[in-house]
This record gives sequence, structure tokens and C-alpha cells, in this order.
Amino acid sequence: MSYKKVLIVDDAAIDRLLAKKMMSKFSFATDVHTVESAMDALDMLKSCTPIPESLPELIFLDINMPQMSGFDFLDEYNKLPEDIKKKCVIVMLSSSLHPEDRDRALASPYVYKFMSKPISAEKLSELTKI
Amino acid sequence: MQSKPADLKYHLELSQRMANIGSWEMDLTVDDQDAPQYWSDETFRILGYVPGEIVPTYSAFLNSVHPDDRKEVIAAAEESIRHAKKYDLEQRHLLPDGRTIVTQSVGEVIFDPKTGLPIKLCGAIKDVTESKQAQEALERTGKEMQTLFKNIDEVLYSVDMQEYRVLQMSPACEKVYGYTVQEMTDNPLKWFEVILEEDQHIIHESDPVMRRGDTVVNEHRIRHKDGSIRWLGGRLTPTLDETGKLIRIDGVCVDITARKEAEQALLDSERKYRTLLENSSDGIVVTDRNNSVLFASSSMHRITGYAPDELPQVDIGLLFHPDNQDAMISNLENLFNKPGETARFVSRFRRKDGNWIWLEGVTQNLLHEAAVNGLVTNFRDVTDRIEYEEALRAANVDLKKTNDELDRFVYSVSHDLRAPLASLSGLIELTATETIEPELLEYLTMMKQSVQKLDGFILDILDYSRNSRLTVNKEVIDFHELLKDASEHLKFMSNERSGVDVRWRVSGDTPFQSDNSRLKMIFGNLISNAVRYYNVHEPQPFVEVTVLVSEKEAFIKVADNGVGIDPKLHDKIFDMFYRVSNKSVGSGLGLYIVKEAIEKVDGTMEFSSEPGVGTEFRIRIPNLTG
Repeated sequence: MSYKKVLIVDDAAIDRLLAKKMMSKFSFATDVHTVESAMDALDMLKSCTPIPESLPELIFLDINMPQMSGFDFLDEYNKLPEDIKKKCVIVMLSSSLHPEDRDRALASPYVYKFMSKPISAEKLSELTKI
Repeated sequence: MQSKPADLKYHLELSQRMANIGSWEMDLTVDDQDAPQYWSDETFRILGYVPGEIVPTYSAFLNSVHPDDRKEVIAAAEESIRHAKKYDLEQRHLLPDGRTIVTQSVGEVIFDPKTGLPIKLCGAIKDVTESKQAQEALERTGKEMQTLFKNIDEVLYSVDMQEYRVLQMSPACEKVYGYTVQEMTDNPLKWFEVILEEDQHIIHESDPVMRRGDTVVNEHRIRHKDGSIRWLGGRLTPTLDETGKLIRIDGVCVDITARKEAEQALLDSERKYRTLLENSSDGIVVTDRNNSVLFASSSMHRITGYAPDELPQVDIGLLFHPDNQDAMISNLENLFNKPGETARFVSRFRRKDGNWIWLEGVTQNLLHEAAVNGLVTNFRDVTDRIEYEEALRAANVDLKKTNDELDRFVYSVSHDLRAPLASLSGLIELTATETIEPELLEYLTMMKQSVQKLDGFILDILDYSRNSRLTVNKEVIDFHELLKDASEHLKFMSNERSGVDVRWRVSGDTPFQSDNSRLKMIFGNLISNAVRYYNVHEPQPFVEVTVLVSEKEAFIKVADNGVGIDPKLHDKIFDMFYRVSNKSVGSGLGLYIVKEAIEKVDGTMEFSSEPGVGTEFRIRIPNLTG
């Protein structure tokens, strides 16, 4: 059973492509939506509010992004209506080795997992919807 | 020519009374002890009677004699009569009034000139009780003096200065000099010969004094017969003859070594403490309740610029910096009522030249010590140290800032280096899913390995950098979590584990604290190594980690049945960038980081390894809990 809708937030085009390809390859999700910034992600989530079914079930969030980092996104996400937050699960995806980054990410109530890049079949299988 | 006295009997009576001598006569022709005899009045009185009170008879006389002496008296009288001898005897009497007296009697027999037979015994009697007692007392005193002379610790002596002869010397000389009285007397110069040469002048100087007739008191050292040096104290009293010539010296001398040594010890001690006090680089000052200076060591002058004579007029409290003054004053006031208590201080102080210096010191309330009666402050100039500390603190802040920046920089760089590698690695994996071409798949595997090697290298550089720079943390360690993490993130390796069984056992539920990131480096590298260098000929390759936690330490054993390490390389494997062969896939930093990380957490490590059998690392990490 795969996810209906997954959102990938990453400024790196290759990583967006890679995630999208991997997911379709392993039928991880029906609809893989990608945005290249945290601002775009917030906009997208807000635009989905009227139609809750259009919200992504899973959000893959990169940390190191220009202008608004993954952590900044989490702060803004916190301000969103409960309806949205109830629907979405966030997975942090980063190549950062800083233990602080990992701790900070997992300290957020909305972050389900911290994963190191690159995304792989093995890692995706850990997230397979039951 | 002279006239004849009117009454000879009167003269006799008078003489007898004045001399206390009585006379008597016994008729030897009558053989009756109770026959009346003649006693002079004084004889009556001596024997305790009023003259004429009783009839004077031989038996009355014998009755008055003390029973113990009676036999002797009778024997003497008979002896005298029989051999016509004079007798002279002392005997005791018991008088009617109860007194006991001693008399001396002399007697003489008078013979009939015609017949030659004894007819009378004539005698005189004298009460010698008092002189007897006086003599006894004298003898007793003499004996006591003798005992004293023999037993006192002082040497008493007399020297005849005309013949230069020791007249007497008390036996204490054997103790004081070590020589017997005989030895001291045989050589009358012995006492001088034993005096230390450097002290002999003391004796020479006293010679003219004694010749003037003055008593001399001196102290000098001698060499005792046993070789030891003793201090003697002497007092010499000279006797001059009528022409003023010194004829005799009486002296006393005593061993005063103990007293001298005590005095010397006191002097030495005083000198020692004064020297210490004056040579101490620390300043020492004694103040009273009004902060007036009672005493200041010479270093006080050097440190503060105030000469000792300027200080008594200065209220020392006012010389401290206004910022520190209140604290200083309340500090001292606190001390006043607490005898023996001490208080520390660090404060700025204005030198006489106006410059501010930092003083650090300790003040102790010794008001109750009579010898001190003040507050004693030991202090030193710590200006250089305080300034140095300030500079160090500032440098430390800078350094910490730099370090933090560097840490962030290292992370950023490692992230920026790893991000494209991750992308590349992902693309390789994706590509591999797109083809079944064996040659292409082989290339892709090689590409992936290269990427992983580079990634591992970045991880090692990061570990190395963090280990050398970061302070050691103290945090609760979850060994299970650490081991799980290490076994999941094997370095320099594709995800398959070549079938190596990674297992671990943690025992002891004592809380353990140490530095988590260092332990992670240690486990990560050792487990990765063990897996990487597994023995292909081994049917069941494994790496087994055993952790035994105690209050003192964690004992960690990482054992495998891998290829093992050639004994020739045992002392090289911990070197930086050392790699066993070109086939080694690592960076050559792994074991170096392990060694460095163990040093950082104050741990120890030993290992044993045998090619074809396996390797075992034994590590002890102190528990920082508590």
C-alpha cells in the first residue's frame, strides 16, 4: 500500500529528481509533488487547506536550504492550522552530520524520522505505509 | 700572799653551783648500801632533789640510774675499787620529776695510808645532758651534710691555692665530668684541661676577679669523658688571707646542658622564623582593631612602597580601592569576634607611588594570642597574575568563539562536501535499477564504492577535527543505542555486511557517564574495522562487543575472528594515515582517532591480535558519574 501524496522540499534539483524517480520506481506514492523552497512548501500547504484530501501525507524536508531552512519551515509549520498538521507527517532528509541537527529535528513534535541522504530503496522501505 | 678565806665550804658550794658539778663520797668501810653517805648540795640538785630531801645512800644513787645503765655503773664502781682505778663514766638517770638526764661521773678511791686498804670512793658528777644533745645534733648534721655532699647533682669542691691541691670534691663530678673524685684529685688541673679551648678564656678572665676577692659566676663548655660536649655553670668563691693573697677557692658547678640547649633551640627558632619572615616574598603585616600597623615585614615595603616607620600613621583600610573597601572592612569586622578565624581577600591597593596593584592575602585573627595581639595578614602582589588571568580569560572567550566558528565551519564544509556525494550515490543506485547489463552494473558498483570511500574519508576528517578540538562532555551513555548506531552505520562499506554477525552484550546497570561523541568514534571505527577485515575462510564471521559497566569504569572488549594483524605492524596501526596495504579501503585515520578519543576520555587501551585467528581490543573508560 503506497502513499497517495508525498511532498519533497529540497533546493537541490538532483535530489528532487532522485527522490521522485526512486519513489515512482518502487511505487512509494501515487503523487510525488516537489518544491524547491520552504516558502513554496508553505504556500502549497496553505493552498491545500480548503481541500484537506489534497494535503500530502508525508513531507520530505531538507535542512540546508537558502533563505528559509528546514528548521525555519518547522517554526512556520507550527503556526499552521491543526487540521493540516494532523494530516501530515514530516521526515527530515539531510546530509548533515551535526548531532545538533538530528536532535533538533527529532525534538519537533511533527518530525517522525531523521534520515541521511541519499534516499535509497532501503530507506524508503522503512517508511512503507502499513 | 693573800688572806685566808673566811669560809672555804661557802666557796666550794658557790663553785659547785656555778659549774653545775656536784661531789660525793662513799664510805667503803661500811658494807651497807643504805648507809648514809655524803652528797654535796649540787649533787642533790643534779639528781632532782632539794639538798637534804632524802638520805644520800649508794642505793639511792643506783636507784636514780636508768635501769639499762645500772649494771654498767655497778661494774665500773667495783672495778675501780678492786684495782684502785679512777673511773670516768656517763650514765642516764630517771629523775623523780620524770626527766631523763645524762651525767658524767668521775671517781677516785682513797686508801688508808697505814693499812693500804680502800676506805673511800670520792667523786664528782656533772649534768651533761645538753652538751650531749648538742653533740648528737652536730653529728647528725654532719652526717646529713655528708649525704648531701655525696648525692647532689652539683659538684662542690675546695681548692688550696697555695699548694694547688684539691681539698675535696663531691662525687657528682663523676656524672658532670665523667671522671671520678680520685681522677679529679690526682690531676688538679683536670677540670681545666677538659674545658673547650675556645671557652678557656672565660676561666682566664675570672682569675683576676677572684684575686680581688670577688665571687665569679661563669658558664663554659667541657668535653665529658664520654666525648660529649657539656655546658657547665659555675660559681667560685675565693678566700684571701690577711695579706690579700688568694689561698682557697670554694666552688660549685652544675651541668646546664639541657638549659643551654633549650635556650639555643629557642634562639635558633626565633632566628629561623625571623629569617623566614624577612626573606619571604610575601608581605606580612600585623594590625590592631583600628587597622593601625603594629608590625610590617620588610617585604611590605617592597610591595606597597611604604617604609615600616610610615605605616603606623596610616589607616591601612583606606588604601584599598573604593570598590573593594566595603568588602574588606566587613571582612575584618567579621573576624574581630572570631579568634583564630581566617579570611581571604583579593583587592586592589594603592601603592605609595599612587599606582594600583592587586593584593591577594589571608588575614587571621590572633588578637587572643598574647605574643601577637593583632590581626596577621599574609599577602602578595598578584597584579601580574590577575592581569594575566584577565588576558587569558579574554583570549579564552576569543578562542571559544573561534572554536565554535570552526566547528560550524567544519560541519558546513562536511555537509557541502557530502551533499553532492549523497546525490551521486543516489543516482548510481537509481541507475543500477535501470539496467541488467553486467558490465555496467560492475562499473556502477565501483563508482558507488569510490563515493563511499570519499564519504568515509570526510567522516573521518570530521571526527578527527572534532576530537582534537572539542572539550570533553559528561553525559549519560546508552551503550545499546551507541552500539546499534555503530553497527548500522558501518563506514567505507556498501550496505551488505559480508555476512559478519555484529553482536553485543552490555552488563551492569550502573549509570555511566562519559563523552558520547568520543565513544561513538571508538565503537564506530573498531566495529567497522572488524567487519571490513573479516576472514573469508571463516564460516561464521563475527564481531562481538562486550561492555561491563561498573561505578569506576566501563570495560569494553571488541573481539572478532577476522584476518588479524601481523605482529610486525602492531606498533604502527595507531599511526596517523597508516594503512596496512593499498587494498585497505579506509582513510588510515580510524585507529588513530580511536587512540586519540580514548586519551581524551582518560581511558586506556590494549589489544592482541593473531593473523588468521582474530583481534581483540580491551578498553577501559572511567565512569564520570558522581
